[in-house]
Amino acid sequence: MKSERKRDVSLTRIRLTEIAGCLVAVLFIISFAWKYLAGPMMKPDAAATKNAITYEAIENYMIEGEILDRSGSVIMGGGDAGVGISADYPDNYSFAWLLGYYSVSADGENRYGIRGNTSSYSMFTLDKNNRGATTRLTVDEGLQNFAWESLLAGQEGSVIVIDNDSGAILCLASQSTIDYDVNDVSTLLYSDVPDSQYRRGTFENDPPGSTFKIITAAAALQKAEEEDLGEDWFYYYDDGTYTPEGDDFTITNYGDYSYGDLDLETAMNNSVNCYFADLGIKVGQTALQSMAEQFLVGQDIEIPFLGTLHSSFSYGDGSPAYLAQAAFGQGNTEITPLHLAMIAQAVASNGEMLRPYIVDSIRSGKLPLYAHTRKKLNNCISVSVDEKLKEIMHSTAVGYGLDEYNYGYVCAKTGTAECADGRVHTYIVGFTEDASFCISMNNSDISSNLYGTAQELVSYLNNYIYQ
Amino acid sequence: MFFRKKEEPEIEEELAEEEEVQNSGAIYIILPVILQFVLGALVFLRSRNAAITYLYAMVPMLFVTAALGTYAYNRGSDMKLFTAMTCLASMGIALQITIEYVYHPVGAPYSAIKYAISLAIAVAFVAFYHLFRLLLNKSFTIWLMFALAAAVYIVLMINGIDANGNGTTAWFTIGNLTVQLTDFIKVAAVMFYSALFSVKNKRDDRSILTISTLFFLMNLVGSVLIHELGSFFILYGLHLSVLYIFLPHSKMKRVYLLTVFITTIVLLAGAYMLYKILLPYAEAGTLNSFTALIWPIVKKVYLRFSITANLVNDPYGAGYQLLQGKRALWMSGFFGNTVNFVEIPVPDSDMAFISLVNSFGLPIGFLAVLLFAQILFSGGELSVSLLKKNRQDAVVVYGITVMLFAQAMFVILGSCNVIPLAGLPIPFLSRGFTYQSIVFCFGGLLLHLSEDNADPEGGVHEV
Repeated sequence: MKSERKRDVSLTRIRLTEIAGCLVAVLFIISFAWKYLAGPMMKPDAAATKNAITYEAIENYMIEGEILDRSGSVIMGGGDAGVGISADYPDNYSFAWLLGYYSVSADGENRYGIRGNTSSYSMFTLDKNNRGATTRLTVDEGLQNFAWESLLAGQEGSVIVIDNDSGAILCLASQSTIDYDVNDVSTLLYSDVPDSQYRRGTFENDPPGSTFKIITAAAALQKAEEEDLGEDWFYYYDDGTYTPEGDDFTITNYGDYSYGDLDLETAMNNSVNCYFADLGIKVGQTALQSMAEQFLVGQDIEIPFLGTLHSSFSYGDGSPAYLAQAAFGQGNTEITPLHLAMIAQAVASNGEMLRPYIVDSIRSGKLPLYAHTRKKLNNCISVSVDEKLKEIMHSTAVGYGLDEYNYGYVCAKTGTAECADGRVHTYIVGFTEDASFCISMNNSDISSNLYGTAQELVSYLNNYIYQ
Repeated sequence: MFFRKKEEPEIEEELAEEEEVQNSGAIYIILPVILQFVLGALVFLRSRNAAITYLYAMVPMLFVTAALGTYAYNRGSDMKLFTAMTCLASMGIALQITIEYVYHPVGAPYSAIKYAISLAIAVAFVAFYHLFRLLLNKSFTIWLMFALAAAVYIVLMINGIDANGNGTTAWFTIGNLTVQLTDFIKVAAVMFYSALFSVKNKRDDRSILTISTLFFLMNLVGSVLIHELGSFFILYGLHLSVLYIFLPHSKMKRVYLLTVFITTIVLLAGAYMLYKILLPYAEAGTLNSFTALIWPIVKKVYLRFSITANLVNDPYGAGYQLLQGKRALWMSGFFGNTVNFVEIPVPDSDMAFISLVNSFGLPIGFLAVLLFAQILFSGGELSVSLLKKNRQDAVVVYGITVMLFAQAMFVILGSCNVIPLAGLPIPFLSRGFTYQSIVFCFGGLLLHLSEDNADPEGGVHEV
């Protein structure tokens, strides 16, 4: 009996040892899986720590992968063990805001742009020769340089071109208040002007100005179609001012012009604020908001390796005055130039908005590590509404000098945004049969200044990209 | 191929039962085979040349897995234990081949022949174990083991060499062969404790405590003299746990265990203070004969703890090994590092776990830890089962189990900078002919002793 009791105590203790040992093993696995596997995937801080530690360990032998344009031409390359890749002139400036940098300092990991966002492939996935993966962009080197040198020509702003069929970004040229040289990160510090260190095309959230009239027009056309409203519904007599019902806020046209009898097309051709203010009230808050949402205004749009586009759409306190202002692109609506180009692309593609992309593929030698897949973001408008909208935008483009004889079939709309800080931001968005574009200039007086820029861009697209 | 022999099944139920048993048994052989193929793919990702060598190694590996698995199953061995050990051995082989081609280690090269010899030794050991078993009941065995362990320390003090250059004289050369003699002390320790608890010798608790304490102190002194603390910590754990489990509950035992524990704390604190006191003398080169003798061990203890607490104190000196280990852990990810990172000191031995995750990914490392836990669990249950029949066998099984699991976790946790690192090999994973042979012998013995104690589902049942 006594010996059995002794044995039972031993049995219990052996099992206690088993439990203790298994507990140590399980705790070890859980804590290390959390720290080294789940953490870097779920927490940006942990991912940054992992990358910083890895970079420090490999920086002396790692050869950073090259970055190519869509035809395989090297934009940034020539890296070696311990020596980063670099770009030749003018790529070092024209691609600078797009490519960005990757570095590790005592504060941790610093990353920006394509170079920073593809570092997990170009620096942290090495082949047997310690060379990182090669990134092929969708951007055309010639077009990017042309946009930076000839179209922007030192002015603060951006030029964006998207292929209509695929959503590939062919050009994303930006110019800030500083001349950022991608070969020398310290050039980013040459200015203390606020907001100098960001890419204009994707991070600049400003009111869309009259480019928003595309969305208001689409909402009106859809409402007319759904409710079988005739041409009369679009008629408006413009006396140069518009005061929303029940409000004392007066809206005027650009230059205080008055246009008399107007339909949708003539109002769009002349970008008549009063007409669109009235149209917005007639369309109603629900329909206008719904159409904005159809074009993903107010939603974040993730573009692989480039970043997230933010935008907002608001009616303020919901009064007719705010709705009227929102309808012609002022008020609280904010949108980025790339998003405006996406709206143009949706209209160009029978209402189908595609997810834009800028990294076509990433390869380590022959081994594909990443390949773009076409993704539709939304069906923004019906084909019939789209046809009518194209017709209106085409005649508008002709009015900008983008006639069919010289430039082929072009649709466009300009916009002038009065920003809260007093800046005036001008746009021209549009599309040809092949590509959509948005040219935006900061601190510009009037959008008609962009007619010539758009003509140059369309000519380049027709002659060199889609000849 | 993988079914248990059964006498003339006559009725349908028996046939169905046999089919069920057949299925449950086969899975424990198939799992290691699947892992061997998965490891092959992971080796290929690291190096094509290594993959070709692994492919050659896979032929005998598959054969041995199938043959031993079928034998173990037919003998009623614990199949979960078999799976755990086979998987770990497969991981060890895949890892050592990868290390050979990718990490370019300094020590002896990978040798498939050594694995084969280790396996042959283990088979021979298990085959002749019944003779060793007789020895355990002899009253002189504990003194024989005591003398054997003491002799090893004396030999190492006189002729021991420092094979890894870390200040530990735990190796001995015979011709071209370098043997880590301290590994034999672990075998002697298991046999010592087993003989100590022999029912036939009928020792009372006091004499068990006295004799085991003498053995324990002899190991302490020997370890200090050859500057090998890692192995001593394993023996320390074995000593305390064997006494805690197998010695009947008494006040004397409680006081003893408490005293050993407190003394350990005091000694560690003393080593810390001694380091601070002796450091100026050591730097000035004015240590006397006694302080010069204890200085290396004091310094070693201090550095182990201080570096674990703060790696960056000496990133290119004492902390280098662990710092590189930490970097490797961060880079490991799901399928191993993708940046050709191979700067891991002693990748084939002390840092084998780090090399494993760095080469094949953290999930494989976690699987290894789970397999060690399975060995602990199976070994523990086997010990429980044997305790009802023979306390001596239970002590042997428990000692071997603790030795395998404790050393594995001790080194794994140490290399991951969770606890102070001790320079020891990891069972099944590390390179080292002597230790590998002993581990295979231990593993074979566990399987052998589990024969006819296993239930049809692969675990051990109580008899």
